[in-house]
Amino acid sequence: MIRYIGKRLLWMIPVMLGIAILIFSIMYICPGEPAQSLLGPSATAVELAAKREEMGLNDPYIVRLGRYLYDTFIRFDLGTSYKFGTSVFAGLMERKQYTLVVALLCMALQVFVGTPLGIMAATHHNGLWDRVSMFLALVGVSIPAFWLALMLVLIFAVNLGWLPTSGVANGIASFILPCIANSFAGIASQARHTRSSMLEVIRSDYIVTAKAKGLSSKTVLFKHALPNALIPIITIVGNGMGMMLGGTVIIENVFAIPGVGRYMTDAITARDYPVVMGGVLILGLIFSLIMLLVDIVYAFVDPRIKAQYEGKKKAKKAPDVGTAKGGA
Amino acid sequence: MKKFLALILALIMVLSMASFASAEQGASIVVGLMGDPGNIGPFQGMGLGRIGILFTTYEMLMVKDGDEFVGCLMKELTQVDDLTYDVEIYDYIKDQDGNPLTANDIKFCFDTAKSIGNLPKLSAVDSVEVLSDYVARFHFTSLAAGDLESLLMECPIVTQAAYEASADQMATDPVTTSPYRVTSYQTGSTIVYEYTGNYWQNDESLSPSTSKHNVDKVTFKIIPDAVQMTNALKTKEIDISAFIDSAYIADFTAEGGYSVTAIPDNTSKYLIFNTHVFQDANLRKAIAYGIDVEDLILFAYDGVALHCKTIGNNKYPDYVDAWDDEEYYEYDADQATALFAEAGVSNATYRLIYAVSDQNTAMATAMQADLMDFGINLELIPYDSALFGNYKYAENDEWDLMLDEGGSSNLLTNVWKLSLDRRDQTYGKTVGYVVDDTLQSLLEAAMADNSPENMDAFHQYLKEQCYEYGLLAAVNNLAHTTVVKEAKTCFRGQILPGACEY
Repeated sequence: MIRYIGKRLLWMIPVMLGIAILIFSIMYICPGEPAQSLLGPSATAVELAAKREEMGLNDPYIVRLGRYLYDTFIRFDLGTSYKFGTSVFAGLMERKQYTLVVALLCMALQVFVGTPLGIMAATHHNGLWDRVSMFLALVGVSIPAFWLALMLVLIFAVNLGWLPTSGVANGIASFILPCIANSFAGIASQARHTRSSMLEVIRSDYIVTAKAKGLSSKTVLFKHALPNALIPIITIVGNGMGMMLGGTVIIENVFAIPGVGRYMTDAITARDYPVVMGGVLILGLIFSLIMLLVDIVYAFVDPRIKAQYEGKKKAKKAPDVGTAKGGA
Repeated sequence: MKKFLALILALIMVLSMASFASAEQGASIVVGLMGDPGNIGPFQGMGLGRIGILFTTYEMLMVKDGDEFVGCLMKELTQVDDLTYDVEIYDYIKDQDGNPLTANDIKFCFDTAKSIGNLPKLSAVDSVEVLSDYVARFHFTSLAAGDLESLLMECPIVTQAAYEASADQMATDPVTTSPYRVTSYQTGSTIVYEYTGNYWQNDESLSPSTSKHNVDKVTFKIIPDAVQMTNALKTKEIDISAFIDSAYIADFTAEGGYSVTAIPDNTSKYLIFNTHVFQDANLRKAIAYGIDVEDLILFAYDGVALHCKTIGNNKYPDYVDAWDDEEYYEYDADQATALFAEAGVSNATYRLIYAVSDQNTAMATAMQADLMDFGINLELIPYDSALFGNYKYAENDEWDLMLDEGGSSNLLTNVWKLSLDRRDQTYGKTVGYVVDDTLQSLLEAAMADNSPENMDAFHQYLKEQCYEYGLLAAVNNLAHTTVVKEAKTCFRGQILPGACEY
């Protein structure tokens, strides 16, 4: 298992290199004037041209790419924001907690609301609960997060006055509406996948056998059905984390949350290349680590997968043992 | 399940009530700000967020107070020759850490700002020489009309001792001479300022409005979304904002406990013709006559904007009042039709580019509708501001008409200069690719001496040639709650929380 994790971690190096080259190339192709965000709207063309030269933006693609890769992977320096004049890494670290709070709370909502909804729909297949759950899931995947966000603000903040409209100054209350808006689609998707995965499992022969043996429905559901339905659910959770991180870009802008997403959208608008590239790289790294974590969790949930890892190890060791025995 | 839901709802209510209860009234004000300054350091370039906090954070040698330029840190200005001036500062200025401010600090600030290069206007300052503790001599490379005031207002002043003591070049915790000090800065969220209680300028009569301190605590809340800004004011999470969309301004009534003031922005909107395409002056004039600016004002600004009579608004001191009474391409369908016929143009399609914003989109749509009556189809091409800058400052054929905007902190000539001074463009033409020596010489004459004669000569020539067409001067809607009795703004139309009446 450790060998597998090590191998996967090593694989992340070319992945990160690929992400870095890709995002650099996209930003290079993308037209726009980064010098203007530094000098302001009243800067003249001559002043902008001089600043562009000073910033090294007139250098050829390969020179700029080489400089970027060297700084990022050899010096571990994500650069300095054009707009703010501060370290990109420090900027990301300063904002990460907001994005993580939103993403983790959204994930918690997705898992702890979406999964029971899906289970309920599966266990009451074609019943009222199933229809209600699936209707909610359909609504959830159809509503755009930004629209839902504004509707929630109108109802709960402007009309009822229960929650703040935006910002993070009100502690956990500031995150309630953003998390509901951002996780709604995730909850829906989680419910739909859990339902279909559970439906497949509860129709299996071993579940019928378990029921025939007189086990309570709770035991059948949680001890026999759910563990076997978990693999697709975990996959959705892993992908969902990526979606949540991506979704925060919109939600942070609507709710004025000073997280990584807003840092990046501001940077895209201002063509603040170091921030965009640094942000994408860090999010890519986080997503790769989450995918690795998902694969590790697979092994703990499903003994067959764990056996595969261990089987490879045993298979390698087996000939040595045989030779030793044979020798004896 | 019911118990769980009830618990969650109760928790939400308690949390929100607790959060609102913590808001103080009276001695503090919360200002809604659309942009994040990101770095509050003294030598950063200008942006939406920075303009909003600039005068609460820093003091300059000189500021514009109402229509007048007055000294802030500067006590006296003496001309030595055409390009040399002596600036004397008050001898009792201290920053918030108690460091005395001297002429050495003035030199340090201008030298540092020039070397960092984010304030490009300062390239006109050749050098700063220290004559005594409180007198610095400025040598300029060139000075057009109004440049002196602009340059003395451009650079925030801090003490060298405080700047060098700061670990991050004052990016988050600037130590300045202002009455307010940053006590908390949550990047992208809030900036809190508190009155220091020991502001150096004890003589109120010498203190410009930018340095007033009528409130103890100022919180700038950064809300980048216009709708959310409106919501925040409705729920009174903020007390005042200059960024309320015209579409929602009617929601803030006196009965609801609000007051709204329309503040003329120093920027104005104008149409630039690509003269590669619009070579014929008649065609340019036909377009100008065919656009009903009143439609634009109604559609984009709910009727609250100023109809321009030149490139720029009438708030500048060098604006010639007589222009207000003269004819300036007022909508005339017959005249437009005749000029289109004279130019031999019918059923043409032109590309109109603009920096995307609600107002610009509304203006472009109204122009499209107006010109459709003459068989002219406008293809609307909105760009984000960074991309718009790309097209604006390069010679290309990606556009036929450009809806642009510009403003200046002091003079109208500086608005004209933005798009019409060939010396400022890398390709030696105006933004609309005009190469007209008469236009250039008239502009240079007005910039050197902005007498009414010179101003009028340039204005009349530009109007006759119609290389650009002035549309309207934007208006900011400033709305506030009853916490603020009278709102005050700086010359850039930004709120001055310390100067407001409470």
